[in-house]
Amino acid sequence: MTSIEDLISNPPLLLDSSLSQLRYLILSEGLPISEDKQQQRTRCYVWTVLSQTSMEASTQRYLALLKLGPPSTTIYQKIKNDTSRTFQTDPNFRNRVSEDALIRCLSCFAWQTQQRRQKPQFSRIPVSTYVQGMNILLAPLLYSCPSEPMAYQLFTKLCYEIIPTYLTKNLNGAQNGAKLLNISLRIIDPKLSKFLSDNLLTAEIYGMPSILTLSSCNKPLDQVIKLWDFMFAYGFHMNILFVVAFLVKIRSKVFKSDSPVNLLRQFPDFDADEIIRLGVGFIAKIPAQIYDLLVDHLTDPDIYIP
Amino acid sequence: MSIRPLNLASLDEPETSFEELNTTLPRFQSHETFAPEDSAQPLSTSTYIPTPSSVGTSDTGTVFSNSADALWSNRQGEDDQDMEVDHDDEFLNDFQEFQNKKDDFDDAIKTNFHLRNRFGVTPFKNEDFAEEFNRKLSFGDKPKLKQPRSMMELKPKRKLSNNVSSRNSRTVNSVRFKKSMPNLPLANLVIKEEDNEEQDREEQRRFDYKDDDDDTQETILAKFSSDDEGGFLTGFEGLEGEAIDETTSPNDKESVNHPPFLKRKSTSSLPLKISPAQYDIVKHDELLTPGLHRRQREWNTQQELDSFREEEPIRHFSSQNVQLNGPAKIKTIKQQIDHNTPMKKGSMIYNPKTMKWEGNENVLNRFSDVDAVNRKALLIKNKLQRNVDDYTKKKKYPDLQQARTASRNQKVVGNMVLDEQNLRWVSVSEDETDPFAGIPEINLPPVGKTMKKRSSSPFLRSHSQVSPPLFSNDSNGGYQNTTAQARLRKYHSMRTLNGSANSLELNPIFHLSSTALERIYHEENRWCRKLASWFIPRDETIIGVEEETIMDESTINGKRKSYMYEIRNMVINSTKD
Repeated sequence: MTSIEDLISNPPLLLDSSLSQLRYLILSEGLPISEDKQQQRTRCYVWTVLSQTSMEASTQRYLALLKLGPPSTTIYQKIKNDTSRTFQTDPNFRNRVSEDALIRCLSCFAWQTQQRRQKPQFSRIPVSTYVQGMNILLAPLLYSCPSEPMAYQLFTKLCYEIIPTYLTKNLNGAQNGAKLLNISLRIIDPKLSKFLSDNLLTAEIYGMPSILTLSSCNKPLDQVIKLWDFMFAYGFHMNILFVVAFLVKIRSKVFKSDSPVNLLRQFPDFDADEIIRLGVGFIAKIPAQIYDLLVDHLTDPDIYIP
Repeated sequence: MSIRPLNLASLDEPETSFEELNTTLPRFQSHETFAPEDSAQPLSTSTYIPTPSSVGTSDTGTVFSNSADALWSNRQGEDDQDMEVDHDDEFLNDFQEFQNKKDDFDDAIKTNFHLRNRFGVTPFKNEDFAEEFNRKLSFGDKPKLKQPRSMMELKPKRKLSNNVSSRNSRTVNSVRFKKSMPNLPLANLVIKEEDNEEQDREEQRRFDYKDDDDDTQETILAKFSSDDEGGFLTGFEGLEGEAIDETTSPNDKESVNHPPFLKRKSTSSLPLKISPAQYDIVKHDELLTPGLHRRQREWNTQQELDSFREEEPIRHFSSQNVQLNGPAKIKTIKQQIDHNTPMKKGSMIYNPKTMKWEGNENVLNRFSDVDAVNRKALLIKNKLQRNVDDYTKKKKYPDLQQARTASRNQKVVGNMVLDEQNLRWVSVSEDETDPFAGIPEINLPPVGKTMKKRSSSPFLRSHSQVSPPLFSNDSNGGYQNTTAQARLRKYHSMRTLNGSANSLELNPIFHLSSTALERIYHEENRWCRKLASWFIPRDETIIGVEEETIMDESTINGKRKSYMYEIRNMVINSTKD
């Protein structure tokens, strides 16, 4: 039994300090990548605790949405188009997560989003019923959670509360994320930033997939999971800095490449620990106000970044 | 058979009774019982005497423990050897000896007195003996008269009293009986522990009555008639002492035969002296004890009955002796924990022979009723029937054929068939007009968009019809559902009531199997068990689908965002150093 399992097995004395302790354990020890069902559960439990996503009645809610069946044809078609391509080449994922599960969860999300729209308190950030990339966001959750309703519950937490601005109709938050990526890269690696901008490669082009999917579009998935462990602990704003880390890692290749676009379209396989180490190291270089923007842009749709 | 062998058997009783008496001695208030006022108590008085049976024994026990312990211990070895000898021959010899040499018997009494004197016990006069014997008799009889009343039935007592009136025992009987008295408490103790044993003996007693009715009854009667035989009382008292001598005499060999008989005698005073034939014990839930139940079954088999008839009484006793002697208690305990011990839970009784639980055989009758009477229930037909049905219905209702082949579990109620594809019931025999044909569909607002996809098949409509047969099945059949099934049913009903069942039917993706449902509920429960303490109820409502509450977003965000600065603070702090 790892110390993380030990920690979450016992009721926290003080929730906030226990959460901090759990975060630190994620950073220092990390959760193992394993096919083991119990390990899978532990990861899901840690994610729910860190994001404070209660699973109580999650199954009941999920089934209530599921009974509604598929959403409108247009949404359903979009969903089906994307789910069939989700991690098609990853046998591990295909073994563990069925396309049906992806369809079910995304359909339920579409229903729930429609229901939310009728309630005024959620009108500030109009999350889309479905945007491309949600399937990729959902994939690590279905991959890591022992049951579909739990994955769905975490997914709604992620979409509605953690990165709601990313999922609006015009992807406002993701746009801001790209701008912040650009700014961060300029601060952290000015040479690479200049090279890319000289080649008319903006952050919207090379960074958007990783920003919108919280790096889950990168391979391998197990490393993505580890990145998510960290981001559930310390915040998904760190994803911007991780994208910077991805870029910095391939910078020498980018400089040498005749067509850097092809390199940037799909980052090479990565090691999560290395990316985390790099990303955390970048924090020291990021000014406080930029860091504030990094934090806020996930939930604040009104941020304007020049 | 003659009476005497049995009586002779009773002669040797002291051997066992003494042995057991010594162990039970501390329990008795021997001083009280020796008090003169106690000795004057008549037989008929019903005044309370503390543990009557035990008092009776305490007298003899104390007497002999004083005088005869030494001799007794010396002779035990011989007795054990004698046990091995063939009992039949010895038995008859002893019997003759006893009959012809009555003088020897008297001599034995005399020697006993000498013995007593030798051990410092003051000799008794004949009057004293008579008195004391009276007293002991009264003690001995008390349990017989009292216990049946207090414990259960009056039957045993009645039987005894009949015997008393009809028979008069001879001196020999009474003498032998006298010695048997010490055994009464012992028998009682054993019987209290184990009803089986008692029942067992009771059964044997019944057979004994059949075979040699006179013997047993007369010996039993001895207790009651002994009062009339005052002339022999001196002899009794002597015999009490003589018992020591008897242990040394060749008669010892018969001692093996005696104790069981004594026990049978003593058990006659016990409440459980009920003939199983007279009482219907098995079916009574409240009064039924496992032991009774089992015994009755066992003994009622013809084999067992026959086995007892064939057996010679003497042999029977001798064999029983081994069981009921000292080791009887051990055997009793063993039987209690035996795997054969019948078990009873509620109305269910475990039959160790067949290794089955019995008692609810009629429960299954309900299912035959489903076929015969309750036509509302779904019929579960075997393959053959279904094929025949298919064949007959194919021509009449070709539309159904496809649906039927698609699903193997075709449901038929009366002349209605479940069209599983469209989830509605259709008549088997003839075409029926759709009563909902002219009524437009009413779609719930959020469902409206998906309704476009609906085909215009006449069978497709609201499927609220599906639920009534399903649920009527519940109420009529009383089937037990697992929680998962119940949830599944609830889930189905929710689905159908919502009106989007059609699109769901078309889309199996949105249909979770019962095993999947069970699994996800299980996972949630598991999560709740382990992690509920990590959550403040307030957080739960924020995520809720239905019960989302309006909260100040800034406060939520403020609280939510603080953790996002933790990593920065760590980094900044570490770089400062």
